[in-house]
Amino acid sequence: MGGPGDADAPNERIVGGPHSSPSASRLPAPPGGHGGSLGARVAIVGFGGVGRELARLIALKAGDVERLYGVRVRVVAVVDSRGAAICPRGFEGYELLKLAETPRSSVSSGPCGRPGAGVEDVYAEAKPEIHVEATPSDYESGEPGVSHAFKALGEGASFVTANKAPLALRFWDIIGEAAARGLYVGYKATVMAGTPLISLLRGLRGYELHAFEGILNATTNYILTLMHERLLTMDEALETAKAEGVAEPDPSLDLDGWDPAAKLVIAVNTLGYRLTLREVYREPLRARLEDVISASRRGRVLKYIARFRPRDGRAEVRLAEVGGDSFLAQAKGTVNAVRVDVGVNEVRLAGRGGGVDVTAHALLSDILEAARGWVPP
Amino acid sequence: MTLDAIVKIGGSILRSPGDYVKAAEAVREYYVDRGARVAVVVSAAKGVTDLLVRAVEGSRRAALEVKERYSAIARDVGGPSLERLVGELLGALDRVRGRAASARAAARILALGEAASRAIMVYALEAVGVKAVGIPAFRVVHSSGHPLRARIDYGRTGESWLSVVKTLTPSGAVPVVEGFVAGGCEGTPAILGRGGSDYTATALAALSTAKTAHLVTDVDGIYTGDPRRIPGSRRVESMGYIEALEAAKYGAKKMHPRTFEPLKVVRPLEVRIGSWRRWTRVAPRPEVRPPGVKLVASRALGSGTVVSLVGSGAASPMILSKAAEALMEAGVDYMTVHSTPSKASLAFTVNRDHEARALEALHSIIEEGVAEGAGEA
Repeated sequence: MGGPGDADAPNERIVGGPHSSPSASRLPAPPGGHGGSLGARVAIVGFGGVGRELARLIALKAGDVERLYGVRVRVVAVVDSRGAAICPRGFEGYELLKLAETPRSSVSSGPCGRPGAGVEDVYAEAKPEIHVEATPSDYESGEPGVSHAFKALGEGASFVTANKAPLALRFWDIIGEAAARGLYVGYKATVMAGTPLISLLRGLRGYELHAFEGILNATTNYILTLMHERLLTMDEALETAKAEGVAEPDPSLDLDGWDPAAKLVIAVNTLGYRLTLREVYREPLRARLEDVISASRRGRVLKYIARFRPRDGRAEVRLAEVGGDSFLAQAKGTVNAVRVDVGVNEVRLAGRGGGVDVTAHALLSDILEAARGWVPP
Repeated sequence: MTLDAIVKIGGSILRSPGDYVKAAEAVREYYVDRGARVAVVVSAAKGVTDLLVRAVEGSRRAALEVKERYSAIARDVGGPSLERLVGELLGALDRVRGRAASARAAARILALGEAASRAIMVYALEAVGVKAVGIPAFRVVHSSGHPLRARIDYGRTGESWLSVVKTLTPSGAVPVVEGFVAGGCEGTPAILGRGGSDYTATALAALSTAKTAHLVTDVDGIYTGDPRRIPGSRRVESMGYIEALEAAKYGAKKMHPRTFEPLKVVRPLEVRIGSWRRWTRVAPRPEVRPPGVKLVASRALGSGTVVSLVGSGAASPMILSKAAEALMEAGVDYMTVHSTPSKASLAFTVNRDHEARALEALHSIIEEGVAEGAGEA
């Protein structure tokens, strides 16, 4: 595992994307001025809940975004598992909304549909400048996200992702490739989604990290909250979370700790470390109601916590007791919370940790930063 | 960037696949072909919400029936593609295993009927040549409060709705939003209570430039009495908001209690309650001078029945005297008589056996404020 002082550790300093000028990248465009707007040609790869919500968001917010930030976001392609819709001129708002209401895996039945087309066709025909990866996370192979990341960067497109797997498995390879090409990698949507932890962590570079710990998974935190507040067994709480749409029908990536472990890797690597997913000790969540009751009687709370301590290099995801008055204990339901101890300061952040709406907003925020050639601090 | 009308299509006229197409044709004939910019708010098909209530209570049979009904409608209206889309929207019904574990879980199930109806209505409109796009309610109608009795947040809803209207104006597409449903806390669905589609429609009308909200149902308007029980009942030409609410309260029309709230809080406009061609016009204030009595209605209360006169002049001493005399002549004893602070109603509690006679007697004194021939397309 490397540390922040490694001489060969690549970083994310990008000096302007291929389609932005240094002056335009740092200054907001004049309000209302189309002439000063930057174009952002976007491909959305993966068109499930998050991809669709992003399409809706761009359709409905494109005007405001251009007025406020001087970036004209145009979606030029949408790809799902069976085909694509490719529109080099950029889809109109109405067309994007129509694409968002096609059945799953049938985006090619919508406007500009191309059955059987894929990412290669998109780059050949629509030349996107920003690739948004919204495919599912696969922590075994990292595919298709890893291949898509290198394809995008190889084609000169910035890479914005909600899929955690590419960065959880190949963080420094992807960041290094982007740095070598002067491209942006945006991944705010991967950790705490709508709550800008990644931006916060970038602001903590240069500090001495003593400890990073947090609740990084909304589903497991919701289950534990139900167990504490309604005295449900874990099975009952899981069924409730599924019925409310908080838990996936197959929640194994959450319950087995893959999701918070991947987020821990991404967060810690953002601070310059070289932590890999395999180095994270994972204890699947198996909480017993009697332990919840016992902890409550002692004024304590059970939380599923992701933790990293640079001193001993220990990274773990496990069930742990915290004081009932502690910051992490206050994070209930689907709220995520992180505490970063940097010696001279302790920084805390809490907010919603999931949901397609907040994830889509985080992606849009990264799209804007990619378009403006944003330089991380 | 303007809308002329919001048309709410009630479940009472959505019983079969043909009904969706007929409703779509009516939107085209009465609005689109006449150059009106219109948005559609759609309810669940007739009887679906009752089935979903049973599904929330744990009935798998009811859940299955909803899927089968909508599947058949979708197949007829839009073929396999729509059938698949509707199947995806109703996926949560497959996981009904018992009584809903929480209010949030119940809201999620109850919201499905309108979501499927929205998808079908979009296809129906396009089938008759009207460009349309579905906008999920959670994306535009924001709410606060209990997930089963949510209140619309007019500020946030207004901003989102404006984005929808602005985005779709260049294409001329008709936005189709499901009624009854809103976005609740943390991105989960909330519902507005029975009859909530009326509330959605008046809110979206008040928050746009619409001049009218047309609440389309299977009857031609609000009548002076129930035509099945009182010969000579006639359609009421116009009413004030308060009169319409009193009429709803006493059983003349099923209506959400907050239907007129947005028109008082945000912006007043005309509401049409009735069929496509005939309706009762509901304006901020009664248009009849001097204040008159518009209708009689009844509803059960314990072992008795409340029969009432509704109209802005209903609580006047003259009407009270006439009503008491009419009831006496009809041989009806009343146990209590009361009015409301609005003074737009006068209610008598009578023995249930006397209900029919009481209604006829009270109906005989309606003389003012009723006319046929107005309120037509």
